[in-house]
Amino acid sequence: MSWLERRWLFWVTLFAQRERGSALALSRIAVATALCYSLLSPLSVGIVDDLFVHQDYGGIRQIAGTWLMQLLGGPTPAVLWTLYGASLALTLALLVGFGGRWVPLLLLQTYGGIVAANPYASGGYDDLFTNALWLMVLADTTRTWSVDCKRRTGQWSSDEQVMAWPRYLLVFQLLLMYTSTGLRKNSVVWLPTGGYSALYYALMDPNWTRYDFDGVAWIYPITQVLSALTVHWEQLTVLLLAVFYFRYTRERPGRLRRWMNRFDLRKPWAMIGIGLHVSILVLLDVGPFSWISLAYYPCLFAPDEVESALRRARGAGQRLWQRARPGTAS
Amino acid sequence: LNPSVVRERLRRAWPHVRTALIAAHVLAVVALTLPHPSLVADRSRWQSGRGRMELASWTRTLNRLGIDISEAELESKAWAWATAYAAWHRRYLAPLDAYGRYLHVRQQWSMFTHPKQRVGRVWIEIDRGSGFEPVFVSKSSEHTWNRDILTHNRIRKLFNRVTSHRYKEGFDEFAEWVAPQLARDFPSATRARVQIENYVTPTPEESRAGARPAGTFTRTRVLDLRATP
Repeated sequence: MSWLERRWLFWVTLFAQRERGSALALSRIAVATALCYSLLSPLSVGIVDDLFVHQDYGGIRQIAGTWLMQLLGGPTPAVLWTLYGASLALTLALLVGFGGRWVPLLLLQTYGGIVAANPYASGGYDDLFTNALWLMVLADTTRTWSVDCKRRTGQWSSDEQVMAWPRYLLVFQLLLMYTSTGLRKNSVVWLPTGGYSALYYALMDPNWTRYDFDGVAWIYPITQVLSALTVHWEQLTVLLLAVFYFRYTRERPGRLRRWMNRFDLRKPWAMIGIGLHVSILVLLDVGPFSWISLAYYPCLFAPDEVESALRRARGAGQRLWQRARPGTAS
Repeated sequence: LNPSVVRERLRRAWPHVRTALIAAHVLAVVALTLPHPSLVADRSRWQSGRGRMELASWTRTLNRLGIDISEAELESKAWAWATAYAAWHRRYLAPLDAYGRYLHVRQQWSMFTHPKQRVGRVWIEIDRGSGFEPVFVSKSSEHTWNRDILTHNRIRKLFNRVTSHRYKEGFDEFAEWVAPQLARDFPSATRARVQIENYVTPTPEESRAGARPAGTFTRTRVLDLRATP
């Protein structure tokens, strides 16, 4: 067998792997929760029409609408609210795991069909939503922890196996997003020659900050360290692919593989990522960006790791509850 | 052809087909991350205040590193590279646009890639007969009319664009959209004025020394509220 054939078979074998569906199910629930926020937030302040219908119907801009909007009659309130209502209903179905792959497929088109209509009012987080939804069309995310599972097996959870490759693609999508944005940070302010001043300038831009950061100049060195951490963490994220590769081929020889597998580098990477997203949530107001980014994180881990982490969290929660209950504190 | 033989062959071929389809998806999304020609080879972006600032910063940086190049030379070389790249992208990657468009798998992750040093604030003012008075100013704790709406992240995405030189239409559209709401909430007002104030963020050293940015109003639209439907 040639080297090329061996390589090809390696990938064929990798993409034939099966596993329990809990990591994908948890990611599905997290994506749906973040989508609820994305849909309900403009609804709660009454700006859905303003953003996504044509100026002639009360919207801000003269938008042409997406191909789906045009197919249905243009960016009018009737078309918008049909798509918006459908998106809300489908998001709830995704959350509870009802309708299998049809739900993310339809939701991809209805949600994408709304937000892409006004590029001035949409952004990176909308693309993270739609990318996740497309991969959830390919994945079997309702095999467990879902209404579909309850209808099929009579139980809310199931150990049935699902294809693992959609989870790998979700991980790849996350790494692609971080690496790509890291490599695009080619402004001087993200470089040592620009003093790593990017975060300082981001915090001084009144458009994105949650609070008034006029005093941030006094903690400028801290912003420099955080700028450097952010940009290099993003740029180096692609190396996590090597971590996954070495974990998958752990039986093979090699000093680098052995060394890499001594530590679970996914965990410190994820801790930094969670820290950055929490910082973004605290300092900046960029909508559901952090929530949808974090919704991909369960896929970094295998189902047994996800289940074990949830068991530990549940145990800790129960212990806290026991201690907090009056008369049971020891 | 024996159907069971065909089924068996398809069953054995499927893992290979699946791998090929996954590889095609991976290649497509990686290709879609490459900057779109509309971002790279857009002259108005290069001519914007932000574009000029980036060019000046890069020229200074290269000079500090010992590379003797003027801003005009750097711009000329970078523009030649950008237009060549845009032509290559249009020729070879245009077919992928449909994948990004219909399945919404766009990959343009330009998040805070160029934090603005020349930033902007939106001012909304009304005239009740004694001159213009502000009712909303970005980030103000005093002028907070319609704050829930005007500080929503999707509206601030729009503000991010209209406070830049490049998006003339967005500004006019926003001003025309806000006028009927002002007429409704302030029936005694006869005119409204929507303005963009731009200023250069002071450096950390200037900021610590107490410097306050001097803003200039770069766009103004005055609207007759009595003529507003």
